[in-house]
Amino acid sequence: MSLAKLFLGKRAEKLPGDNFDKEPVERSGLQHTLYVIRRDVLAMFSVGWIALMLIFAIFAPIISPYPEQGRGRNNADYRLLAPSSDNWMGTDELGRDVLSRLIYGARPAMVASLIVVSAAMLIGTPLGAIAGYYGGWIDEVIMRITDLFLAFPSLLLAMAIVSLAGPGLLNAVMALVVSWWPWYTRLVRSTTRSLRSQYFVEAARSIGVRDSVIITRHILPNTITPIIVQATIDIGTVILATTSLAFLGLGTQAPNADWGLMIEQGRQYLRDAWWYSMFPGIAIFLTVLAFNLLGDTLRDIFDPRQYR
Amino acid sequence: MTEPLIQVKNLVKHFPLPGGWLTGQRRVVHALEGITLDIFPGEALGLVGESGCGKTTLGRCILQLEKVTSGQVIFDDVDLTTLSSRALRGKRRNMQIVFQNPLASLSPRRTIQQSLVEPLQTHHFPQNEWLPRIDAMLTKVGLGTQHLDRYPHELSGGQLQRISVARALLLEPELLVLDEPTSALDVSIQAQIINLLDELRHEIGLTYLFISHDLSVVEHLSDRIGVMYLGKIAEIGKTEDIINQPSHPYTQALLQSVPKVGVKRDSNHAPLEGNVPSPINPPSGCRFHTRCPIAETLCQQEEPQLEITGAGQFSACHFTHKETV
Amino acid sequence: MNNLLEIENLHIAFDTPRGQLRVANDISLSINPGEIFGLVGESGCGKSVTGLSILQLIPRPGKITYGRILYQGENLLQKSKKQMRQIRGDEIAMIFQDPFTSLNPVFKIGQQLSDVLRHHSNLDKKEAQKRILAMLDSVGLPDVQRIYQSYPHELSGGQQQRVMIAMALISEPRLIIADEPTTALDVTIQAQILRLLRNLCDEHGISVLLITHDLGVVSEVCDRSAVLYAGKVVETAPADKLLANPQHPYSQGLLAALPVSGKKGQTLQAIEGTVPANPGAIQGCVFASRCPHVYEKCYDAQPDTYPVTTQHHAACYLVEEGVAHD
Repeated sequence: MSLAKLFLGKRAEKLPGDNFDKEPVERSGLQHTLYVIRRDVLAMFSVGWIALMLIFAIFAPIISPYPEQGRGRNNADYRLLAPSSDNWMGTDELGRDVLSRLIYGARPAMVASLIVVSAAMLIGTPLGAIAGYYGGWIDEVIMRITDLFLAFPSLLLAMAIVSLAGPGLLNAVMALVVSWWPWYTRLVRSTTRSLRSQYFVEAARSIGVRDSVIITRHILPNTITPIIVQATIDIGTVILATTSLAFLGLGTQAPNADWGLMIEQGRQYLRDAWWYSMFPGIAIFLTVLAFNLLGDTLRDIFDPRQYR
Repeated sequence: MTEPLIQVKNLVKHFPLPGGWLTGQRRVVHALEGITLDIFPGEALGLVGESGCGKTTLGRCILQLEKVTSGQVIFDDVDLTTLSSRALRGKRRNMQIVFQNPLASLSPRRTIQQSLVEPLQTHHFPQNEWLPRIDAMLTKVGLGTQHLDRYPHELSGGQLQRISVARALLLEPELLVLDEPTSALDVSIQAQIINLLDELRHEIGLTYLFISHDLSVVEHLSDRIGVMYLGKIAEIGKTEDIINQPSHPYTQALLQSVPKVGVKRDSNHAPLEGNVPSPINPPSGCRFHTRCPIAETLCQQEEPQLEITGAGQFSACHFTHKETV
Repeated sequence: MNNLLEIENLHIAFDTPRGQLRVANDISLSINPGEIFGLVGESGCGKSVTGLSILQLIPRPGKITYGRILYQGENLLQKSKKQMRQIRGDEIAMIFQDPFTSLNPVFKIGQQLSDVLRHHSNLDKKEAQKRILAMLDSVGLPDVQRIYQSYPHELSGGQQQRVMIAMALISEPRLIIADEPTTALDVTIQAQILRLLRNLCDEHGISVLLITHDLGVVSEVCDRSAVLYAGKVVETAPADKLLANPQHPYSQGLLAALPVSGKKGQTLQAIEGTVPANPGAIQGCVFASRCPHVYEKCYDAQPDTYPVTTQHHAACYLVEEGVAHD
């Protein structure tokens, strides 16, 4: 069953028992999505902002006013300049244009979080489905392993991995994946358990469908909705995590641009050059907020009985 | 005397409850306690009883949707409880089930067509036969192919239940278990489904195990009725005999409790007082003794066995007597 | 006017983002003191929402768009919120279908009943407890001390429903609205609860508006009844007359569709078709699309309610013309 069909499959908005004066509107999945988004300012903001961040990440060399500085080239004569027409967000202590750094900073934020969440989903989902479907000792074993990993504070884990493998974005990402997959296992497991006792799953069993087919054909497609909602919100949370790690010196390393790193480096200049830490801080805030709001909006889109 | 299609022998099903680690004694729900009955080919056997009686569990155990705690379910000279999952899968073609909630019986993200293809695909029917068979079956249940592209939530309860029946029959089973198939439907739709089930049985020659709490529906469709109480069969026999000359006190009380159109009963006398005891701690001896109007000390001590009280009629009571209703 | 409760031309609609859904269309009925009135219909006919409207408990986005509800001559719809709070529980009480969700799971039974009682009266704790124990006993609960101290989940469905009835009765209302009170219960327990309601009516003169889909229940305990279809009252009659001699084709259809003894082996007469998608927009009779006796006039304008006898009315042109089929 293709993912596209899942989202874009034909959805009539008429539900059994609905009686309306107006004729029910037939919308395709995509139209329905756009319809809900248009009706909600916050949803529009979140979609817009995330789109902007994606554009930043993908087209950084083209968009940023000073791409070289964005990548790290010094510009020593122009240290700590206040925002001006040349530098809309001012410059940092090495003279680099903050705006350009900001735009380049979208790269680790978006890429890292997408990788972490995708990997966590790919690892956690099948484990959760198996645990939830079979129950018994399989469930016990998987859940105990999950509990073990959940108990690791991600920061400590990151520090441990870093001390072994050296600092850098890649290692930070690995550390986060290891901390994150258990959440998906739990989520999928509980959804699977409740689905397993539903009549349509029983019907499939009574027909003689194999367990593996039941899981992939009947159970997983019905767990995707909460997973997607959770994943969207998680992207925001992971961005917070990666930028925090960078802030602590465990993630992205200088001279690469990273919002967390910029905040850390700007800390000492906070009184005199507020723009250095402020703008990346605002960027983190708005991006995480956007993903949280998007997650809520997706929940509304997927829930056929709720229109705001 | 025809051979039974299904023979249930001493079926016991206990559901363990969580807890009891400290005392070392797991508490258990005694859902079924030694059920023995036969289902004959071509008949409609109705199972009635109230909550906790185990009728739904019995249906599921026969179909091996639940693993039995002990006992045998013999179909085609094979004890189904001993089969491996692979061997069982092959036998599943012969026994199908229709559930109570039509909307929940179909996978919400799959079209009707996909849901109907599934049994054919699972049992390796040739692909070129799928659509013709589905077409024919839809017509048999009174629907058309325009519904194939729809999703379950777009159809009504009556339509969905017809589709569930169609899906079950695509595999050409010998036994069809119907677990409260009309309980979630309105009266007018219920009538349509009852008519359909009756028709199909006579047309195709199916065997039904019809489970319901609604006595009037069971009476209408069944040749024989089994009355269950707290995991045991209280009485079983031909429909006319059970309805008109019930032997077991519980059956009598049940029949008197059902509100019937046109019958105003004595308002000072409810047929049966008290509540159904918990299946976790069932009463000793005859399980019905706590509510039975004719219970005596013997009933508390000794459990009655099924005894003949008429042609093909059996009742589990120490003082079986017939009462014409 | 002896009526305890009178509903006049009630219209209820739900506002949804995609239009207005009319769930009750010109409903009129009256309940006398000391009788059990059955409101019968299938799912979606508007019977539950009509019951809720009496106490103004309709959930948003539903609202009463027209009509009056007269309780002892006074229009309830014009009462203030404070006045309604007084009436609820004290004069008119309600019992719902699922007792388990109607009782608060974290409070003991005694506590919940006591809260209700003391809201409506000035009794102190000891007095209240005495009254409650007496009430629990009168609804047929055994071992009332234990029940008083129990939590809802410790009781069976039948016991919970009896507690609900006790809660409804505790401040001696004149009218109880019972919304499918026995649908979720086993049939032997149902028999007990119905008998209890009948006794309450006979011995204490409490009226009951019994909302149900089960014609057997109507037959067993109701004095008078009304049949609802797609938001309209299609027939009103004393219960035994309705069931013995229904005049409206829908009522006839409902009875014909019931599997009763004697019909075994015969095909049941099912009502063709389905409930209309938008009853509010139908110009003619709302049942016309499914009626086996329909003719042209039925599609043009909605029939009024025509008398069959002084007590028995049906909204059907066939009755108007005196040619209703038996």
